[in-house]
Amino acid sequence: MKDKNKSLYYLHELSDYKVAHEYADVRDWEVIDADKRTIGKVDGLLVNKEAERVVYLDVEVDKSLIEAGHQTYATPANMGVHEFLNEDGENHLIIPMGMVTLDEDNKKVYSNEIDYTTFAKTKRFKKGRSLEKSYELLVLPHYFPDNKFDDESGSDKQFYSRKEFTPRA
Amino acid sequence: MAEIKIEKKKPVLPWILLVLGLFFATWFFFFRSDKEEPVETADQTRLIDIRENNNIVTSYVTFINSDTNTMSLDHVFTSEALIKLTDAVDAMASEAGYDVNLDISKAKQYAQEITNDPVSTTHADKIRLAADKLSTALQNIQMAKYPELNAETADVKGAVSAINPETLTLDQRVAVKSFFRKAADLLNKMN
Repeated sequence: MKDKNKSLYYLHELSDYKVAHEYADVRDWEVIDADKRTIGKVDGLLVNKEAERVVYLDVEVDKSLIEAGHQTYATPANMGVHEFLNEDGENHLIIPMGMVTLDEDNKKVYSNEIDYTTFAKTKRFKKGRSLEKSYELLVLPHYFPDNKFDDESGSDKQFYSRKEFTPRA
Repeated sequence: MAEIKIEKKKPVLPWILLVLGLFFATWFFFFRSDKEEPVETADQTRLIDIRENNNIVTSYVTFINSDTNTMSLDHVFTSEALIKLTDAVDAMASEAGYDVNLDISKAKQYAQEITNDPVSTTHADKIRLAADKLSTALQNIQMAKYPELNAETADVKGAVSAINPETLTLDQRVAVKSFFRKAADLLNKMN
């Protein structure tokens, strides 16, 4: 796994960029999973400048989700899917935009394809950490076990044109 | 639709510059123009470019220039010329906006004394004193408002100093008339 030049930026890092007109700024919106359980709230927007759009939501997860994650470690590894080891304070995760729908009336983000357990087992990070391609390639197979993710070929624009990042109606 | 596009912010700097420009322009037109008024007044000190055409001054100049007899001088002429000159200097001071009241009042006093006592042997004293006051007033007006007429003013002062207060007026016709003519020349250029 090899990191290329930085391809992800928090929108708030880019002082000369903003959410485009007529698009929702979903920061602080509640994130709901496929089981209608609250995952957390959107804390940041991760954008790719080449694609000129948000490609991930940075979600600050609820304590309950972290607790659920701890419980999964209590089960033997051979009895469930592989899970990551998260340290104390690592309470952020990213969700690809292709996995969510937006309820602009109620200011909620729905992720109907991914359930609570999957989120609970996702590798998380501490707020403020710079996100590298290696982290993306670690997390994406966890969300999409059947898909292959290859960082070696294509531009950022091509990479983020995959269905995992493209808008859902 | 779960798409969130981003766009570049419109640059703020041109707007800031525009606002500053408008602010400066407003300041320039409303405040600067007020402060420039004294400068315009200073420009007005070049009064030589402006024709005042004051009637009193013209009257004196005409009176002096119409006297072509250089050797003739009597008390009536001297008295009238002095009064007309005093009025002309007073009028010129008013045109130029220069205060010469003190000099003028003294000159008027001397002119009146000559008129009231036409045979006094002290006439040359009075003429000299009046000429001193009037030439000083003219010099002050010239220095303040007509810097170009320095030479003419020097001529007037020179003519004044040529009048000997110890000698009878009738014995120094040329000097007295020279003073009146130099003063007329200076006033004519001011006017």
